[in-house]
Amino acid sequence: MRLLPKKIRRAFTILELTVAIMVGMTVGATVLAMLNQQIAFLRIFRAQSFLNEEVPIISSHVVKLLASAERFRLHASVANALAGTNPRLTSSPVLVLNFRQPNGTVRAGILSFENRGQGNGLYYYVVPVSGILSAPQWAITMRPTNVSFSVESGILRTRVTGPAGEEVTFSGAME
Amino acid sequence: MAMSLLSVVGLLLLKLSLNVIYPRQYSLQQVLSDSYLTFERARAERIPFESLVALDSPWPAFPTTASEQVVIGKLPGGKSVTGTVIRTRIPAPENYPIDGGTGTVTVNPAAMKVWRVQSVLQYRIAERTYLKSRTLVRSQ
Repeated sequence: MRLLPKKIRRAFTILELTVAIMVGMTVGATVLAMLNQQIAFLRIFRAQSFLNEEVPIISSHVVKLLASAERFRLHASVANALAGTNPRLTSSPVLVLNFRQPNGTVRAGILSFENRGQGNGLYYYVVPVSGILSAPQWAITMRPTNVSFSVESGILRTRVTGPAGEEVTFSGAME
Repeated sequence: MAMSLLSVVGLLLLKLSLNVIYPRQYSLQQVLSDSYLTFERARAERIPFESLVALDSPWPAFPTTASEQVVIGKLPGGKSVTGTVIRTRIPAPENYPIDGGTGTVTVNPAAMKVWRVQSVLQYRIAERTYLKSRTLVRSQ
């Protein structure tokens, strides 16, 4: 009796390999597309974050300060603001606000957009009675690329420019 | 099987992303319109009373209105967002007839002039039109 040789399969056919490679490539391409989609989503999310998250906080601080101030002055620098010299009517990075106290005295606060060595930021100083300014009390925000204060028809306007070119303007009339 | 699973996961992630982004896009416009309306409110507070009730007032007496195209801010990328602001002022009923009301010396012995100063901002998001208003009472 003659035994039939056992059929041994030692490799894949070209067709099988082609199908396997194509499936692998398709799966890889799909994963890459999903990754790109997530990166695009994160980019959009980050671009929206300044207006959605930072601006309401800035608005909350700045609008309340503007509303409770009695008068204001614009200056080019904190030094000028503190000395009360060279007040301006044009767009300025520094704003002095005066607040009437319950005992009738007036205290000053300074909003300043400046670089204090950690990049540009909007800072708030409370001017001490001694008149000697120390470190700012608050760093309101470090994210805007520009903040400028101006006056239009007697209304104080605060224009905030964001890192992606966003622009928003808060306004306030004095008390 | 793997392809089906990936497609389902991909579509699910896309839907989740859109669910996060769309409300944020809506709130971007809210931030811009709210900040613009601080100007309208401040202007209504600041304008002298005689200018407010003058013939060329920025807030004409209702039913007359004044419209103006305004830029309310810029979105990420620097794209300007525009809207239309519609201004009017509405007299209190106690005003004298010369001030738009029906009041008499009996109901308004001090001859007060009271106006509701209203600014309505109209803007569009996609196919929808939104209106947002600020009203301030001025009197003299």
